[in-house]
Amino acid sequence: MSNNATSFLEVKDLVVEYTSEGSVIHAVNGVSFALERGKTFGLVGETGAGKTSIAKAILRILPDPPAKIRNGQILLDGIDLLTLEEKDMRKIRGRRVSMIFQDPMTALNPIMKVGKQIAEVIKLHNKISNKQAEAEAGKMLELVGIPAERFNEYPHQFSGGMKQRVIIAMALACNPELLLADEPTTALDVTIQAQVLEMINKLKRDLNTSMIMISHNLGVVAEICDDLAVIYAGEVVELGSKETIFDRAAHPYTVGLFSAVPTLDEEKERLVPIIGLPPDPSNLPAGCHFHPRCPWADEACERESIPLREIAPGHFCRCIKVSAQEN
Amino acid sequence: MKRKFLVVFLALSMLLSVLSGCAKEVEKPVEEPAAPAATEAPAVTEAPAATEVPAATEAPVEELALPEIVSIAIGADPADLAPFVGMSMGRIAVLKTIYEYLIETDSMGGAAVPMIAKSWEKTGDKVYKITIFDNVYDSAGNHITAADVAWSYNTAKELGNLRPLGDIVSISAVDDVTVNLEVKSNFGPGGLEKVLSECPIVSQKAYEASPDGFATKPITSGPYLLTEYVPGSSLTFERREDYWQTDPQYRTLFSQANVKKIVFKVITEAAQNAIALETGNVDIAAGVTQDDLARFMNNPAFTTFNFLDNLTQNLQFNGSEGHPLTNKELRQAIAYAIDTSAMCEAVAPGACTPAHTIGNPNFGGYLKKWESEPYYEYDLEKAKELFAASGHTPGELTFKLLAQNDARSGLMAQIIQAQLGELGIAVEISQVESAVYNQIQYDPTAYDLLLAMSAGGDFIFSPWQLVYDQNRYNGTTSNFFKDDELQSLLATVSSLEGFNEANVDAFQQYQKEQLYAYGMLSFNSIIVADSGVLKVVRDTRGQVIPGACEYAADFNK
Amino acid sequence: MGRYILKRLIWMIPVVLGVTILVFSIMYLIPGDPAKMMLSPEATPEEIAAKREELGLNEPYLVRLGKFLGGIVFRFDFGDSWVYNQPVTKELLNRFPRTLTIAVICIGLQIIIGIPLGIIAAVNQNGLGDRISMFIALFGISLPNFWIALMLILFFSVKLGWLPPFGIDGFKYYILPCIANAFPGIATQARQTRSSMLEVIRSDYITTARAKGMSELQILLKHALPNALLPVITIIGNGMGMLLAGTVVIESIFSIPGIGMYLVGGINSRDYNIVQSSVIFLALAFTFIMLLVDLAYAFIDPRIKAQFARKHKRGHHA
Repeated sequence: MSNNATSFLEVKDLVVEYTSEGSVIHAVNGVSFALERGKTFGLVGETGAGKTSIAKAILRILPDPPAKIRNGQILLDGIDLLTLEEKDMRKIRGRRVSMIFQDPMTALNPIMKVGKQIAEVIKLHNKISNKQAEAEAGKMLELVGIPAERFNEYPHQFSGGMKQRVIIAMALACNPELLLADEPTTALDVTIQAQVLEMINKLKRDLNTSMIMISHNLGVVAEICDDLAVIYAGEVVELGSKETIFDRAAHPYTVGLFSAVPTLDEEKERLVPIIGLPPDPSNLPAGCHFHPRCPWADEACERESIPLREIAPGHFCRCIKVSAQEN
Repeated sequence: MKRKFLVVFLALSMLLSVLSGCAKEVEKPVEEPAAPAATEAPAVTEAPAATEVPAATEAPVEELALPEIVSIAIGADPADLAPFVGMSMGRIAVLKTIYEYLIETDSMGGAAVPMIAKSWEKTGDKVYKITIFDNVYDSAGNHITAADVAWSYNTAKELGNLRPLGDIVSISAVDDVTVNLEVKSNFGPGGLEKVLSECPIVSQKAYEASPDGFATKPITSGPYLLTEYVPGSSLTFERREDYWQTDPQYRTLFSQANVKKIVFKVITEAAQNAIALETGNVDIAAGVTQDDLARFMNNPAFTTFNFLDNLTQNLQFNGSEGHPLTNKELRQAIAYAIDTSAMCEAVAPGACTPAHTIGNPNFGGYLKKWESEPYYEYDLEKAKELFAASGHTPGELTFKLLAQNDARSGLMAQIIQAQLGELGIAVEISQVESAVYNQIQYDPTAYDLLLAMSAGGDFIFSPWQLVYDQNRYNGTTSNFFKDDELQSLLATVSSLEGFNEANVDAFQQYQKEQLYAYGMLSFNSIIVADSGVLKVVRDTRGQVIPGACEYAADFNK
Repeated sequence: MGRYILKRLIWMIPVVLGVTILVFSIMYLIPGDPAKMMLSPEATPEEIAAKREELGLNEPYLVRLGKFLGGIVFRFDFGDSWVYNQPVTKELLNRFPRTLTIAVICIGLQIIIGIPLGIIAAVNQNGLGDRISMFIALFGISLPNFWIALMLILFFSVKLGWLPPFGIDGFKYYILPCIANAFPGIATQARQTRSSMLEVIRSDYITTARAKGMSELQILLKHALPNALLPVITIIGNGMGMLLAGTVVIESIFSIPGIGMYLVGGINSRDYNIVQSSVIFLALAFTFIMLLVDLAYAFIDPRIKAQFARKHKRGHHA
C-alpha cells in the first residue's frame, strides 16, 4: 500500500465540522488515506469516531446546515471531488461512487415499490427507456438473490436482511467503481450477516469494485478488508495492511480494541475493556486525544499534537510512545 | 324631532297636492294625536266617513316615466311567502308588496281607505257588512269575489296565526260583492280596521292550485308580480300592466307601483348595508348601523330619512310578592337615577328620543302634553332621597337585569348598571338570545329588572295592554304586579266608549305614579336611500313599501 | 379493499344515528319554545298552548324521537320547516351546492397555496423562504376570517369596484367569500406541510436518494412530497368537514343562503326540523369525507392498504 499519486482514491487532510447551537463538533480532524482499485479498505472505530462522516464527505451528502467540510481534498482518479460543481457531483453519485447505509429498515422509501427504487438509479445515469431500466432492475434483484417477481412489492413486505440486499442491489446497479459500505451488517443478525458479507465479497470480485468498509466489528473487517485504518476522535491513529495491524497492533487504542475481543481459544473470565469514555467531540483533549484513557500516557502526550509516523514500511501510528520497531 | 318630521311631511304633502291635484293623505293621526276619540269613534262605526276620503293618489304615471328598477335591502329572509302564516322579520318586509287587503291603513290608528273593499258599515250589533269592488282580478286572471274574501278569512282564522281574526265569529259571502261579518264583541277603537286590514285576500282557486300554498310563488291581485324568489337571497317583483284597479281615485298609496321592477335583497350582515349602498347594489337600506351613518349624513349622493320606531325601550320591575321592588319609592328612585337623555346620546346619538310613557307619538291617542310633564328626568339627589325613604341602604341590594343579546340592549344595560351603581344598587347583567328571553321573561325568579321593548297595535293602549293587562298573565301584569285600580283604568281606556282623552290621561297619570314599568326611550329608524329616492313610504309596521316611494325623474332610467 | 369500504359505509349508520339522537336531545332540553317564536308577541297563553299541541311539542321525549326517526327511516321524510313551511330536504338540497362550492374552492386554494408555502418553508428552513411563509401563515391563523372578509370587501368592492360585496348571482360572487374563508385553512396547511416535510427531509431514504445522484428537486417531488402528504391529507379531510359547517360566518357576511345560515337560523328560531335534519346532513357529509380521506391514505401508502386488505395478502414475507 502506498501513497502515490496513481491511487484510485486519495483522501488528504479531510476536516469536517458540525455546528450545533453555537458549539462546534470536530467530527473529522485531518484524515488522510489512499485506496487502490479493486481493493477493500476498512475504517475501524467506535460509534461516533467520525467514520460515517468520512464516507458521506466523499459523496458530499453530509447534511449541510450542521455539517461543513472545512478542509481537505478527495481525489477520485485525480479529480478533487470537493471542488466539483453540484451537477457534476450528481453524475458521480450512484454511478462512480455509491453507498450502502447502516440501517436498512429506514433506508428505503416506504411507499415506492422496491423495483422502482432500483430502476430509478439506473434510469438516472443511463439514457434508456423505463422498460429497459426496469428489466435491468429485475436483473439486479436476481443478482442479490431476490426473485425478480418481487419487483412490485413494497419495502415493508421484506425482512431486514432482504431490504439490505435491495439496497446493495441499488448501490451496485450502475456498476460503480467505488462502493462505500457503512456498517452494512450491523443491523442484521449474525446468520444473515454472513450471507450479506459473502454476497458483497462475491460481487466485489465479479465486478472489480473498490470498497471502503466501515465497521466497528473486527471480525467483519478481518473477513473482507485488505488494508485498514483505525479511527479515534476523528483522526487516523493507526494505518496499515490487515495482517500488519491484526498481528502487530501498535497504537494503545488498537491494542485495547483487540484485547477487548473475546477469542475461542483463550480462557478468560472477564473481557478487558478500555477504561474511560470516548471524548466529547466539541471539546477534545489537548495533545493526543486518547491520552486520558491510555495506560502509557505521560505529560508529553498532553502537550503537543501527535503526528502520524511510519513505524514500519506501510505501517503508520500516531503515538509518541511507540518506537520505530515492532511492539 | 317630531316637529321636524311634521314640517317635512306637510311640505311634501303640499308639493304632492300641487303636482297631482288630488286630495291629500289623512293627516289626523300625526297632527292631532290629542283628540283621537272625537274623530276616531265615528270613523269606526260609520263607514261613509272613510269612503268619502279616498287615499292620496296620483294621476296614473305614464309608462315611460317610471324608473326601471329599485333595489332595497332587507335584514332577513322572508322564508315563507304564504298569506296566512305568522309574521317574521323578513316576512313583514315584503308582505305589503305581495298581497292586497280589504282596506289599507297607512299610519297607525289612522283612517282606513278602500283597497279591495269599496265600503263597509255596521249593520247591527256586532255585525258588519262589507262591499267589495266587482272587478278584482289576480295575476292569473282569477276573479276575486266575496266568496274568496270569506274563504281567505276563514282559512286564516283556522290556521290561527293572525291574532286579530280571533275576534271573528263568522264571515260569509252574501253575494259576489257582499260579505257579512259577525264578531264576538263590538270593536274598540281601531278594532274593525285591524280586522279588515289583517288578512290577505287571495283567490281560493289559485291557492288550492298551488303546490305549496303560495309559500314560494304567490298569485295575488296586487300591482306587482313575484317573478323570482331565491330563498335567502332575493325577491324580484315586476309591475303588472293588467292591475285590476283602473280608477285612479281608488288606487291606494301602497298600490302606487311607481317603479317597474323591485328587487328585495337579503343582507344578513349589518355592515354590508352601508357597503351595498356605496357600491350601488341597493338603493334603499333601513339597517345601516349607527357607526356607518356618518358616511351618508352630509353626502349629496344619499338622503337619510328619519322615522320614530314603534318600540319603546322600557325597564320593568319585578312585582312578585315579597320582592323589594314592590316598594314604590324604590322603583321611583331607580327611575330618577337613570338618565335617559344621556342614554340616548350614548347608544344612538341623533337617532333616539327619550320616552314619556310606554309608547310614543306613533300611536293613536298619544297626548302631546305628556312631553312637557315631568317623567322622572335624571335627578340623582332625589333618587337618593327616595332610595333612603324606601328603607334600603347603598350596597345592600343586588339586582339581576335580564336583557336580549343585541348590541343596543347591551349598551343600555351597562348604562343602567353604571347609573344604579351611583345609587348603591349593584346590577348583574344577563343577556340571553331571543328564544330564551321569550321563555323566561314570564318566570318571576328569572329577573329583578327586565329590559324590554314594547310596541303593540295602533293605539296607545296597545303597548299598555301588553305590559299591564292582568287578564293575560294569570292575574298579574306581565311583570307580576297585582293592581285592581290599574286593571280597571286599563279596561276603561281600551274600550270603545272609554277611549277618550280624559281616560287616556288618567291611565297615564296613574301608571306614571305607580311606575310598574318605566318607559325609557324610542330609537329612530334611519333609512338611507340613493338621492334619487325623493320620498320613502313605510307601512304601519315600519317597513318600506318600494312601490309607494317616490323617485326622481332620472332615477335608474 | 371492497370489504373495508363496505364496512366503513355500514359504520356510518350508527355514527349518524348517534349524532341525531344527541342533537334531538339537546334541542329538547334547551330553553326556548318554538311555538312562542312562531306566534306574535301579543299571542295569548291559550294560543301558544294550542300551537304547542299542533306542533306536537307536548308529547313525551321518546314518542317524539320515535316519530322523527320513524319518519326518516320509513318515509325518508325529514319533516317540514316551521319557519319556511317547506320540506327541509328541499331547502337543504337547494343550499348545499352553495356551501359546497365555497368549501371546495377553499380546499383548492388551501392545496394550491398552502402546500407550496409549506414546502418552501421546509426546504429553506430558518432561511428567508421559511420566515416569509411562516409569517404569512401567522397572519392567516391569527386574523379572524370575518375581519379579512370585511377588509376584502372594503378594498375590492367599495374602493376598486371589481367584485360584488354580497349575493349569489354568479361565479364572481363567490370569489371574495372563498378567499376570506380560505385564509385560516391555507395557514394551517402551510404549517402542517412544513412540519411534515421537515420530518421527511431528515429521513434516511432521502439520504439514499441523494446518494443515488438525484437532484434536490427530483428528491422533493418523488420521495419527499409523497411521504409528507399523509398527514397533509388528514388536514385536508378535517378542513373539509370544518368548512362545511364553518362557513356560517362567511355566509352571514356575504348573505349567501347556505347550510350554515340555515342551521343557525333554525337554532335561533328553535325550528327543530331544520336543526335536526341539517345536522344529520352534515354528519353524513362529514363521515363520508372521512371515508374518502382514509381511502386516499390507502391509495398513497401501501402499508395502510395492506392493513385494510390484510386478509388477502399472507405469506410472501422473507
